Amino acid sequence: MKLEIQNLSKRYNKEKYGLRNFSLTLENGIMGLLGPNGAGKSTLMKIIATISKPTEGNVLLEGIDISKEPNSIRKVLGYLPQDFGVYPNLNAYEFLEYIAAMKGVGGPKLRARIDQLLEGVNLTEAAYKRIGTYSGGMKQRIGIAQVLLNNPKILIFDEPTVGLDPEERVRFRNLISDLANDCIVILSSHIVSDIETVADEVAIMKNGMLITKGLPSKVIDMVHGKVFEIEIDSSSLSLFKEKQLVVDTIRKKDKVQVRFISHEQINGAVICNASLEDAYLFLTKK
Amino acid sequence: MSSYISIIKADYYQRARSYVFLITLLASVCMAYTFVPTADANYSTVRIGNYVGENNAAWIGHVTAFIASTFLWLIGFYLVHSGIRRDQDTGIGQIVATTSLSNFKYLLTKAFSNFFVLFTITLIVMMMALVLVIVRGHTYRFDIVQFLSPFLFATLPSIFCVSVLAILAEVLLGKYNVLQYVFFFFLFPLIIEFTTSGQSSRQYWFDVLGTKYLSDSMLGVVNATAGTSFRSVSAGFLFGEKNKVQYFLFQGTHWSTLYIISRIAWVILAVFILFIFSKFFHRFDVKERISGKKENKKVDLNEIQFIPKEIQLSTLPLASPQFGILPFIKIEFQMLIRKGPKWIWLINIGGFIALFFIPLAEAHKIGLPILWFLQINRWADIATKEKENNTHYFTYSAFRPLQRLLFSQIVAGILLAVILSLPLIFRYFISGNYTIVLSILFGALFVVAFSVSSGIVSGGKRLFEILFFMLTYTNINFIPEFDYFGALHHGINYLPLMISIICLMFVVAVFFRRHEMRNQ
Repeated sequence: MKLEIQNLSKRYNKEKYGLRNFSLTLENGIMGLLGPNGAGKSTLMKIIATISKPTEGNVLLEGIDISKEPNSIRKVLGYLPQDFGVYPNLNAYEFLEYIAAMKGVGGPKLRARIDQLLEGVNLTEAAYKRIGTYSGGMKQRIGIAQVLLNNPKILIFDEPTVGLDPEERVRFRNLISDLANDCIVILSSHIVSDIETVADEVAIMKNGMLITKGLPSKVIDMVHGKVFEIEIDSSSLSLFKEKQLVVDTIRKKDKVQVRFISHEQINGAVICNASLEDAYLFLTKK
Repeated sequence: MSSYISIIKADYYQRARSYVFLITLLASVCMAYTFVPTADANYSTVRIGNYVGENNAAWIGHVTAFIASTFLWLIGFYLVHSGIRRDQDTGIGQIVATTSLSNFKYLLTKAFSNFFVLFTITLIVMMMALVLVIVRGHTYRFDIVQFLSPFLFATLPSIFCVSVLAILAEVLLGKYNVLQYVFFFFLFPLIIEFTTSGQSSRQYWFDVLGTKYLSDSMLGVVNATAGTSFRSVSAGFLFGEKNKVQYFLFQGTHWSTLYIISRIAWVILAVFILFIFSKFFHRFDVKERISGKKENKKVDLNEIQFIPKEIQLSTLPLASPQFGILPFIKIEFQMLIRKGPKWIWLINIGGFIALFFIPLAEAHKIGLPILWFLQINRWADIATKEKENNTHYFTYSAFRPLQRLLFSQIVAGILLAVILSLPLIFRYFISGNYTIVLSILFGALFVVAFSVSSGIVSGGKRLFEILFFMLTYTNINFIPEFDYFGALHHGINYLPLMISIICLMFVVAVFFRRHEMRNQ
């Protein structure tokens, strides 16, 4: 499948843009979206999920404009919004049956599919409890299960790992790696390491615009030779932060180990391997 | 003190900036406009026998304050209640619970916030009344004291009391919204009855609305000038017999000190009761109040030992495409049924059985609207629960949500209304009154169209709750203009208009929902 995003803009008023002239072409694999709050990641995902209309530009799925024919993508869409709710009076089975009906799937195998999905997200034991009694992590897992009800080909995950414990996060990463074999997966997260681990490609956004995109290794190359570590006195940290782009600090008794990005190496600093997080901070804060 | 003002202010802004509040203000302007009818209108609002006052500042001020005191009690409770519930749902309550703010002060700030919401509406009504004095006044003399004083002495204490009552209902009946609705539904007619029935000169001490003193003042003037001996004032929208109306000059009320003290006493009493009941306030520690059975469920859930597994995509059975709406209707209906406490169904079943046995006319005129009113909680968010439960991202991105989901919600709602009215339908069917059966079915259609359209347009359930209460209130008072289920109509001549209104409501609902779906 091929999803083409062409010059997409979402304008709220004369000056405020949620998304500005955004273009991207996606094929099977995982596209990791990174960007600070308000960068336009959720706006982009909502437009692809057909619940928001762009002011300009098109999103084409196999050449079909989804703004004009939203049902063309809805049949193959799996969407996990950032901030979703559930019907508290339904149990997990009923809720998934409801979502399945919405997605237009059913038949004799639906029950077995729901069974397996609930088992896969470790909710079998709680499947007949009302969702209103679930914890945040359990609700998030229900959200993940509903994404897969209709055998989707386009998967949109907006901050999917919120509320998941570390073990569940690993399982989720494994799941979307499997999915990426024959699906387009769009994944946004504030946890850069999640993206770094699974994404085939990364797109970094800021102020509604695409700053850069490419293979994670290529994006990391942008800060190659610019990431340093140095130990300084705790008292001079504030002054140091004013002069350098500090990406991490580790406290050590009277000293602080500082990881920073700079075009030039300073006295006492040692060069170190760059990560996607370094590149992300460099690109969004510079 | 400033912190309390900040809390009240924030709470007030939160409510005042809602869409439903704007609609309520607009509706208030329209309502206020009708409080003082034109000379050729076929209705009057306040009348003593066949006498109405000449349109001067005193009469318009009194009439508007009189109706506002009653009207704002009627809708005020539904408009302002759920203040505590909202804090609980948003999590603000938990923050409040950790502060040094006492229960009483918290509840008082909520009551004041309620009061200011209703006060804003009173101000709008008052301004509209001022316009009416200018536009419809019979004289250029403007007595500002007699114009404003009924609002000050009657309306303001009245709306303060209903503001406190809304808080008390929440403290006492907590999460049972429907019980609060029912409680007020039966309380309000009792208050009206009590206000209008007594003949004692000191009756105003027991009149929370404060209107008795106003009506006595009007009565006194009419009886003194016209030599009549009327004993009560008719208030509301009184249709017909307009041609017989005679005018009298009303120059205002002499405000006795005792009456003013009685109004202050009501406010003090309301605050005192609030103080007493603040001792029973849960302070957002709601988990402890969950019944033992539910608590066990929680414990079970926490004790579940998961053996971590992963989703195996290769072994997932492939569900087949199924774009029918029956599963939708089933679940939508299930959700309707499950809404609210289970014991309400005992009342529903009791009402359902009663419809079989009570005299047919009473069952239709009173039984059915009350039984339908008991479902207010179920219908109120029938098409807005996605927003309230934050599931709209799922539903709006589903396949053909408008044609399938909205349609299913409507069908589920109608099913509930029809099922509840089955005893009546059965009885009319047996007696061969097929047209009345048709009227009831259209009534079911109407009530669902009404809830769906008002919910989608206003973005919440409050507007429907207020209007449905008012509608039911007019129904059980046998006002034919608002009879939407054929209890008072003879024949089906009114049905074309009903069908047009129903169609219009559905068109509006679809139009707004379509727009909403693409603009998240």
